[in-house]
Amino acid sequence: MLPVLWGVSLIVFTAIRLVPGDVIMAKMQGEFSAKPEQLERMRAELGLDVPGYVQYFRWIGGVVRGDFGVSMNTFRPVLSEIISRVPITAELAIISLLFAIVIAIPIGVASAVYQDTWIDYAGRLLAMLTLSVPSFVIASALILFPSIWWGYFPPMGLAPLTSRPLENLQQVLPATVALGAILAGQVMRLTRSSVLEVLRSDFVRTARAKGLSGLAVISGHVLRASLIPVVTLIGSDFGRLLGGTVVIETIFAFPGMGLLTLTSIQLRDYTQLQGNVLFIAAVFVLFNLLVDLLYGVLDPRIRYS
Amino acid sequence: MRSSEAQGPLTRRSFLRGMLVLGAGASAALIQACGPQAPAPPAGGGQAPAGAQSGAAVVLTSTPRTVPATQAPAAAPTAAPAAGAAPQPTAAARPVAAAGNRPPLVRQQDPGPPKRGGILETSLGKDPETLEVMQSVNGPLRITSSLVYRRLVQFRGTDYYDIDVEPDMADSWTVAPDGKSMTFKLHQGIKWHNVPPVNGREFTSDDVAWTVDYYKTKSKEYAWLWDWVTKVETPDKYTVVFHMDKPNAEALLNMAVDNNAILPREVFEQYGNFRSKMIGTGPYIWKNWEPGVKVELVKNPDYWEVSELDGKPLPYLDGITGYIMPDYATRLAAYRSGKISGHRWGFQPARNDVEGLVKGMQGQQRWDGVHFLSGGGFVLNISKKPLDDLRVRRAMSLALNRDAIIADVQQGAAQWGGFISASFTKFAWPEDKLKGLEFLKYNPDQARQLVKDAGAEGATVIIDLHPDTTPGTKILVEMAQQMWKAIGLNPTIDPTDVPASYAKRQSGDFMVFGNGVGFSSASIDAATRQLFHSEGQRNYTRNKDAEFDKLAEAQATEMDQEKRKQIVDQIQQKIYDNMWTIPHYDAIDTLINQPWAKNWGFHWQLGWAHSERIWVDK
Amino acid sequence: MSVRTATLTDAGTMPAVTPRRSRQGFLWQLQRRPLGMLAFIIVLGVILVAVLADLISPQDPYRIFTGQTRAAPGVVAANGVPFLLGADESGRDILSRIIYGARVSLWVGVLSVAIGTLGGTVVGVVSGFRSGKLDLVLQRLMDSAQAIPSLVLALLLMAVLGSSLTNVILAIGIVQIPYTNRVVRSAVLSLKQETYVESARAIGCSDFWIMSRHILPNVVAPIIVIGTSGLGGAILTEAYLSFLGLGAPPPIPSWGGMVSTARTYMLTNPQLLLAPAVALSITVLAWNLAGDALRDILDPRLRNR
Repeated sequence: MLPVLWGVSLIVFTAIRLVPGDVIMAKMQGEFSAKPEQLERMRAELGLDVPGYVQYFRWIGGVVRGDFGVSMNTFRPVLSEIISRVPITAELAIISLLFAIVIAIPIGVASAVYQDTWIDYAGRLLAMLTLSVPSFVIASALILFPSIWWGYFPPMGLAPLTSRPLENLQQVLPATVALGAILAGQVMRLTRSSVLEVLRSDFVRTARAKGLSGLAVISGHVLRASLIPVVTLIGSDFGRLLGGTVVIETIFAFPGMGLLTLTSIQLRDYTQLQGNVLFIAAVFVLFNLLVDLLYGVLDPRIRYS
Repeated sequence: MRSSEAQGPLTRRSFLRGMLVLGAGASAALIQACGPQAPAPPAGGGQAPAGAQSGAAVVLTSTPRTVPATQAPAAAPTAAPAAGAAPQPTAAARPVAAAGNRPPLVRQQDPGPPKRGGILETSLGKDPETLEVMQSVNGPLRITSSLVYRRLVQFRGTDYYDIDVEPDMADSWTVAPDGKSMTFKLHQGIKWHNVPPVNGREFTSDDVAWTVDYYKTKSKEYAWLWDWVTKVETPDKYTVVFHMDKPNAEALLNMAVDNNAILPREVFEQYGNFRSKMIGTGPYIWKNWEPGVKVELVKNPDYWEVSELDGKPLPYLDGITGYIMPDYATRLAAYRSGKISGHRWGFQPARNDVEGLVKGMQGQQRWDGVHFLSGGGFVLNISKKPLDDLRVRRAMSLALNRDAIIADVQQGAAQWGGFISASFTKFAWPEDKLKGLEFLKYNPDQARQLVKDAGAEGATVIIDLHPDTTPGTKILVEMAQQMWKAIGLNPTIDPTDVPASYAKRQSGDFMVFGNGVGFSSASIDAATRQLFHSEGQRNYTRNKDAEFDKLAEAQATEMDQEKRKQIVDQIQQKIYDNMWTIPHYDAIDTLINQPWAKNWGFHWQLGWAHSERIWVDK
Repeated sequence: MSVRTATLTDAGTMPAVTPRRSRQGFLWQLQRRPLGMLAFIIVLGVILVAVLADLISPQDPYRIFTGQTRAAPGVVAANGVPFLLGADESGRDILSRIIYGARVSLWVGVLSVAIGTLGGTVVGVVSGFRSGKLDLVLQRLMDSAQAIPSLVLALLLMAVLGSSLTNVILAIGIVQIPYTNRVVRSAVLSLKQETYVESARAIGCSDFWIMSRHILPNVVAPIIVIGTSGLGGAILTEAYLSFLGLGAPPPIPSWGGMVSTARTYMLTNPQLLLAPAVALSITVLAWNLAGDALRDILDPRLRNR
């Protein structure tokens, strides 16, 4: 795990420094009435006056000790910024995933059980549809059309989930529908193929031959099998999930990790971006370990490699 | 390895082969047939938005603070010194005296008697990113600070363009005959916000002295606001004297600029910076900033100004909340559903959207004919071929069909612009004069000939374009690109983002800027000397013209209004002759407010005019 | 990562690496899958449109008709030809831009997938076959790249490379390399165990020979599946990049760029958004369905259904 994270740190550190412009440029936006010496002072204050490798070692040295530095833009600690934003993105992701699961798994199971009938086709078409439309189109439509038709606009900002949950859920609704729709498509397809596999498998046929009713067969093995792709989705598509939230958070102006990452790139906030990406990568790696563990629980046929 | 056994042309293996071939063939066909088509040569050239309008006339003595006449029907605003009020509410349309090419501002609602209480909700185009207004040029931050802090003097703001200066925290001032010192008498009884660590103590001349010193030594971006002051004296608690080397035509303008806040030393002494708190002497106290979400301000109960309408202390409002909404479409939707009362930075809805909003909603207040602070124009880097050839630059200007651009980009809501925006009403040339300039006319044939003469056919011109708050800029650049392609150049559009764009301006690694240059101050000095002087901080065009330098330096110290205007006219002539930037249009925008937001004016110089006098009536 | 995760494509199953021959031809297989058949037809149609763009397009997609911005469908352009789908925000014929947009989308899609697949294959084959230090280093690099959310990685790449059509292709392609690599490598690893490979080694065949003659052909099937299904994702990614301002530079007619710009005018001129959104969605949808059908056909276990 550590070498992967080290690789990530190198990649993001060099990449963002290759992009033209730095945080001074972003802040100043060209209102350059400041004199060059003044700009140099700003750079020195941010630690940008030393060579690249020195900057890297300073930063990575801090990270190893748990100090991710301060944002070059707001001067607030990077880690505290991340920690305050992760719950929002996590909430978005979790609710979207729940929404997707609730819709997609039944459709996926039905699609598999009634394979090649119109139910199957309709289900697959629906799934494909949601996978083919960009999430920002769905999201924009969800904001704009209610505002025209009903004069309805979701309450702005984001109330804290802990203190005002109802308001929070109302604000988050269009976003989670948009994200959830996209996830639903993927979950449905995965569920369908996983269930298909199980249905064809020997032990299901044996169970049938033994005379177990269809429903019993389905609920027992099939449902467990259908959870596997969901776990896979979380594990391997986690990265895509996080990327998806970038767009959604931009449209709805939710202060989550995705938006923070995007604005750090736009503002050339090196420390914040490095911290963000490193954090996300660490979570990603941990999640995959978790997923591997879950497999063992869900499907005893699968052995550890 | 398994041997393949063809079973006719449609076996899986042969299909696979065929598919690969098809794929390769399709790719080859596509590659050959279509490859990335080079778009038409990018239109290059930005006009330097020169703000010809420098600050208000230099007033040798202060004008007395006048009481805002919120109910009085306004006469031509330049004639009626309705001090400090937000643009006067009148029942009838109030045509502005046509000063130069200033279009009339129309206000359509009489606000009625003031109501107390309520919160004004607005949107901010982006996150303020910090609380240190003196270290940042962020628009929403400056607007916030104009509500929380006060200055020594403020813009009179009888209408949108009025940048004559009137007292704010200073009651009066005098300027020495030799122009080298200014004495200010401060208003007595002003208190800082009652927030620790300042805790509501009285504002005195020491605060001014400390602030000036802070700006000069510690503000990197805004030191220029006070650089011209050599010494500050505080003979008593309510008197400040500024000494300077030479007269400064824009001294008062600098002092009135929205983010030239007077700062409390306690905050700096306790925190070492101004990032954690915003404490000022203004009508609203900064309460909270949720990054990415909103900024909240509440009423200052100890504010020193009193309402002339109901005799009680200002402000009327209980508070102001700014929701951070970077997405244009989302802002429109929020406005449409009544979530926000209006927008004061970076909103400018496109003309069609304005008409759509106003048509579909009741009682909207609108101001037509507004010119914003930034100028229009394509900035050129004349050190790069082929832009170093005057013929090419002139050709690029001749190639632009400005009427078509105005029609398509702004739906007619614009006029021909000079590099000095029409918003500088005292200095900008009127539209007729601009239309008469030889090289601003639309003449593509002449342009083609010039390009040929200069041997620049097929020359690459790269236009940089970064995402703007207005959707029209992209259309403008696309049109310019097509028009420059039509005269024989090879223009391409290069999208960047803001920091890359400004890095390129600094390093000179650009040819044309599609977005133009922004301004943070209504300063003619910034528009001319800073932009075009060979040593100017913003000499992006990289020109070196000694004669021009002399003119630019002269306007900076000329205290006589008339003489200064003449110098600036010469400056403009020089710029048009040399075409260092290519002007296009000056947008005429329309600003709209919800019906319940009363007396809410706005001012060209970014801040809200007399924000303490706004009220909501729901 | 365990081999298990690598064997799950987004449909949940991976065709066995060594497919059996069968008597039934491809077209017959396709006929039994009407959804897939329709999808293939649409895909072919899109390709045809792209190839024949200059013949069927009513206008030059770059030509700006001044004074006719956002003209309604049916309005006649200055040169006498009607705007069948209306004009866009700059006064260009939308239908022409959709037609040429097919070229751009396919161009971006095919090339980026080619880069991703080829790159991933080369890395996967070499790394899987060679093992040892090279394998270790390469896989760490791939793991690091994959730990960064793909959209963020694409954003960074675009920011570094600058905005041009070529760079969009490169960015999207590079981001796909780790995924292909993973699948290919696991296939190679299992192939390595086969006796014929061991015997080839025993008789002294060079590594390169073995890789190209024995390994590669048997890896082709999953590669094709990944490739075809990756196209839809590539086209969508271009749309997401355009939304974030880093897609194909104007005035190139890309569906993603058109959708992104049209969002601004969603309230007033929805047709600006509708046309490219539909084109984009249908193409991606058709491509995904076609890829699904292809995968089904290639999977020997579903052969005789």
